[in-house]
Amino acid sequence: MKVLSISSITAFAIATLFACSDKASEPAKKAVSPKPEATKPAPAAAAKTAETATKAAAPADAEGSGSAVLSGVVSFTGDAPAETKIDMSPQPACVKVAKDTMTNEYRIKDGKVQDVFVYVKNPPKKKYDVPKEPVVLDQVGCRYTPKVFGVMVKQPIEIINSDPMMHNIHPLGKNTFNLAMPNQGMKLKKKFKKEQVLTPIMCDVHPWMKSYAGVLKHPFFAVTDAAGAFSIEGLPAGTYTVAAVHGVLGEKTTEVTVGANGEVKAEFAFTAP
Amino acid sequence: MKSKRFQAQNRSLASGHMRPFSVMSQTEMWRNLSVLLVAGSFGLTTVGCDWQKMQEIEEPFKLYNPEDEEKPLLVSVDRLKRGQEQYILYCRACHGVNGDGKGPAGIGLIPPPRNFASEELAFKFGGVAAGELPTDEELLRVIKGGLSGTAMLPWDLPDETILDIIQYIKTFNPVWTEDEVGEVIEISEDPWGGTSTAAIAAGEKLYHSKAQCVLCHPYYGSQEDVYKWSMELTGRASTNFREDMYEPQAKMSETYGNKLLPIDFGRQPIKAGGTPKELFKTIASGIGGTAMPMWKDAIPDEEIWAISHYVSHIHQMKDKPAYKEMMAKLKAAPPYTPPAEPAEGEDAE
Repeated sequence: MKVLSISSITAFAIATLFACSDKASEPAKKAVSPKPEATKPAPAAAAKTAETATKAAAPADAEGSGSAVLSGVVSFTGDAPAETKIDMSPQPACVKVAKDTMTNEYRIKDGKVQDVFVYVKNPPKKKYDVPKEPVVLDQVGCRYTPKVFGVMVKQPIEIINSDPMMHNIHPLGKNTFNLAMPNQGMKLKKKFKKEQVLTPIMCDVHPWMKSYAGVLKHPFFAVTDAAGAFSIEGLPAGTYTVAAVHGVLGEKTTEVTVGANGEVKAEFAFTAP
Repeated sequence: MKSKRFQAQNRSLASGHMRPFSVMSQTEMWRNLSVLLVAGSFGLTTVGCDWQKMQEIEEPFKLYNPEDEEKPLLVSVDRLKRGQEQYILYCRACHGVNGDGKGPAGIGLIPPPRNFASEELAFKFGGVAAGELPTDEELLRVIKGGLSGTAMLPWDLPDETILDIIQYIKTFNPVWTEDEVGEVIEISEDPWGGTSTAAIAAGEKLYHSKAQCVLCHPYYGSQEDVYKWSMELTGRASTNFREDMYEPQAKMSETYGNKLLPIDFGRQPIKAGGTPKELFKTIASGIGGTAMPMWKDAIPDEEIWAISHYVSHIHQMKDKPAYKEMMAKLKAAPPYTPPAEPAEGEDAE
């Protein structure tokens, strides 16, 4: 048996070597550490972010501090896609505590989009102070509050489970971790290590639960309110590429130039996907 | 089942998980007869022609240095070349020439071979918090121990050889240059002093109620018992049982891009091992890229240990008549009607 195996393998190996010898020699050599394509399925915008950020013009002011204000409104053109009702019936404990059972994927009201993450793609390059104050992410009524938030790399995030049931908190991608939170009132402190716009956050127990974090090394970001409005303060004078990123609708960008202490507007309009 | 390669191979063949594969290399062909035998006994099909397109190693690989971000730790060209040579011989067939898990012998394997090059790189059994990069020691453990029920065999190679391969595997992904290795999850002293009736009983209650293992894994208890255990441990009634409560629940993995079926401990091999200690490590750390979260600090170690003893106990009943009898009895039992709940005016489905 052994002899048979070895001899047959050998024969096959030799055959394979011949079969492959010509086409195998062609392909180009690769560097030792090939960088995988920076593509992320969800959200598609994240990959673009990294790409365009490097191409964008360098900001004029390298100081990294200023007092200009960038504000604006994110609107939606056309009929807003319908939200659907979540079927929570497989998790009766959620049915009991849920206050809001709509998907809230789009958050569009009167043509204005809430929960859009707006940020400056090319702020002056420097080390920015990281706030010690934590951003709070609560699990309540089998939903995340807030739905979208911005946080700096290494800024503490306080994660709370306010529900009388188990959740697991599971960010995906570069900032992944997965922690069990079985008890009501449980709190955790975590940090994201890497820039990622957006880091999706999910609960495997309740797959409809979704939150998105815009994680950056600088503080020039904001999340739109119910009126679709945002405001980013403390910008130095310069020309910037500004992006508005929506968890489902993707990304829009625009360019603005602002002088010291100036005010500048950036408007974004999404359309149906 | 801490076995040598051939036992594992037979086990895999018997369970139908293994697809034919063949391992070979121009220069190394005669070096390890046992590998050839493995290949031979799997049949001589499905071999790709990608094996010669290996990367040319020209410079040392930079590993993240937690002491000083600016000064990466270097893996020498010599060591990488040694690792590459061994990788070609033992790993490439399934894990692929580029480490992307798309080797010719990896096609169709369930679970698929790990994609070391993925931007979503997640090691399942790293002995660190799920999602973090594993230590060399843990990778060594997985390679030497294999992953039960998968095509990942236990590799009976010298540690030094495996460690060379591990260094080479890191070159497939820049994450090793950018990120630090996770902190090892400490395995505490077993407070139960080994498996005991008390430990198993405590674990059974926790598994079915407080720790909610049954959200994904099967129940191994009756509705009535689960109700009682829930009231006892959490004060919350557990009255809603899914129809297929004795089956695991498939969960979508965004990381791997497919649905994963959590283990049924009474019917399936446990990949990273079914002893209480191995289970403690897996439960405490969570499983990277899957729905299985990290439990360390979510509940006391004592409770993780109890669950480990219980799961190990169920696993030891695997394929035994007693297990089948127990499950048949559970499945035949009529639905349990709990005492009336205090009215809350909410629908309870």
